[in-house]
Amino acid sequence: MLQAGDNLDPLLKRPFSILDYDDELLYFLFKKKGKGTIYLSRINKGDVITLLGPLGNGWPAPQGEFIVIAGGIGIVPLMLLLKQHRNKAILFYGAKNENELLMLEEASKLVKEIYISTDDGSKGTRGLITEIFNDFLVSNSSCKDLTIYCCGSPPMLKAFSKLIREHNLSCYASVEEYMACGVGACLGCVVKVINEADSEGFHYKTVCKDGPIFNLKEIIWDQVF
Amino acid sequence: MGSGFLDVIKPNLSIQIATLKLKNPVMTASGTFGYGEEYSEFFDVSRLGAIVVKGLSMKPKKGNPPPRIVETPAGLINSIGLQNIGIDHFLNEKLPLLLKFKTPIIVNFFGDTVDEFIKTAEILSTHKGIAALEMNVSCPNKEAGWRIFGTDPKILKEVVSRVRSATNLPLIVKLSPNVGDIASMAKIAQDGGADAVSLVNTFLAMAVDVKTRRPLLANIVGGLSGPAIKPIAVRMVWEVCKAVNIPVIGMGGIVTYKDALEFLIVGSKAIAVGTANFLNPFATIEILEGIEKYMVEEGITDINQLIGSLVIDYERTYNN
Repeated sequence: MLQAGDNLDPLLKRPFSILDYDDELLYFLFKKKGKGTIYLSRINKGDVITLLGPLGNGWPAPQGEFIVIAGGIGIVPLMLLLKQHRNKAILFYGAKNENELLMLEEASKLVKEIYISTDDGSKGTRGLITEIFNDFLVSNSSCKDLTIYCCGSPPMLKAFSKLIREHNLSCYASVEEYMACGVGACLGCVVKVINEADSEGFHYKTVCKDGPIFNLKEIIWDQVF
Repeated sequence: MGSGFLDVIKPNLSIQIATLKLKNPVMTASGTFGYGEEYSEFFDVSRLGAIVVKGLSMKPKKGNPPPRIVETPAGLINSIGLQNIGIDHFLNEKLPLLLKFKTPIIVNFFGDTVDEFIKTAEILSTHKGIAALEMNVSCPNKEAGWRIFGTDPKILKEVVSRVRSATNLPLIVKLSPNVGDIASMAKIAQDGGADAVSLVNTFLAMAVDVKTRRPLLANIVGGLSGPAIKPIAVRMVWEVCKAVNIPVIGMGGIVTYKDALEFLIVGSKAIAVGTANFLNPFATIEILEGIEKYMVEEGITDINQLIGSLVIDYERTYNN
C-alpha cells in the first residue's frame, strides 16, 4: 500500500500491485481516481512516500501454458506473471477504448497469443473481453484445461465468474475492495467466499491478507454493480 | 543502552487501573489490533501498556457484507458487523499466543442478550492469563428491538451490574458516545460496578455516493473513527473524568503523541490507539515514545502528574 504526504485526508494508504521491479526500483501503474492517487501522481523525484508491503498472497505458479484475462488497469498485477513465464500465456485483454489498453505493447511481447477487445471498437474486436474468451473456448475446447489468471473490475469479475462456473474452468482472480490496515486486523476489505463447513455456506475473507488472489469459483458476488 | 544517566531521568509511565498495573498508558483499541499477532511482525508488542483484542462473542460472527469501510475527510466509517472467531476459538488458538507477549491482555466482548453477556464473561473469567475484561455496550440488544445496550440507561445498568456479579476480573465498560449525556452513562457504569470506563467508541455515521445516490456502506450506516472525531472525544472524556471516580481510558482519533497527551491532560489514566494503527502500524510505539520524550522535555517525572492536569484559568466562564 502506498501513500504520498502525511496529511490526514486521505487517511489511508491505497493498495496497489507491483507492476515490475529491478535492482533499485519498484514500478507502479495506477489511474488517478481520487485524492490518494492524485497525491501520489504529484510526487517528484526525491520525495519520500510511505510503503507498506508486500502484503497478501501471490499467483500460484502456472504449469505450462496458461490463460490470462485482463480488464483495463487490471493488466498491472498480471504483468510480472507474464514476464516470469514468457511465451506461455494466451492473453485476452479488454478495455473501454484503445487509450485504456495500458502496457499493450509490453504485454504483447510476453505472450504466445493475444486477443484484444474494446467497448467502442477503437482497438481489436468490439465487445467485452469475457465474450471474446467465451467464443474462443467454443472453438478451442482443449483450452478448457488451462488455468486462467484474471484481473479486472468487480463487475467484470462477477460476470466472468458465471462463465467460469458454467464451463467448470479453473481460474484465479486478483480482487479489490476498500482497504484500511492491510494486515488482516480491521476486517474492512472482505469478500464473500464459499465455505461448505458453514451452516449458511459462506464466510468472509480479507483481500489484504487472505487475498488479493482467490479461486474465482469460490467467491460469491452479491453486490449489484 | 545501559547508560546510568538515562536510567535516572527516565520518567515513570506506569499507571494502575483497579488491580491492573500497566507499565505505560498506551493501549490498543479493540478491533483495530486484531489478536496482536498481526502487528507483532512490525514491533515488539510487549512494549505496549496493554493489548485489547478484537471483540468476541459466544459464537463466531460472520460480520456484515462489503463494502464495510468508507473514508471521509480525516475519518473512516466502518460497519464490520462485529465479525469475530468466537470465544472457543479465541481461548484455544489465539490466547496462548497472546500470552507470550509480556503485556496484559484485555479481552473485549459483547452479547446479543444480557444472558449472553453474562455467560461470555463467566467463561472468559475461568481462563488464566486474561488481565481484564472490556464489555462493549455499543452492540444491539436482541431483547429490546435491537436498541443499543449502552444508549438506554436502564439496560446499561442491568447489563453492567449483572456482568459485574459474573466476573472477578477488572471490568471495563466501553461506552457508546451516541448518547445525549455521556457523563450520566459513565456514572451508571460506575454504579453498576465497573472498575473503569473506556470511551469513545465510534460515532454513528453515514456517507452517500452522490452519483449512484446509494449509501457507500452495505450496512447503510457505520461508526466514524479517526482524527475527525478527536475533539468530540476529548470533550466527552473530559466530561466523564469530572463525573466519575473510577479510571477512564480515553480514545477517539488519536494519531500522534500530542493527541494522546490531550486525553491524559483532561483526566484519562490510559489511552487507546485505534484507527491510527491502520495509517501506521508503528503508531502505538511512536505515541509511547512521544509521550516519554514530552515528559522528559517538560520535566515531568511521573505520568500521574500529567493525568488530569488540565489548567482552566477562567473557570467561571465555563458553564460547569
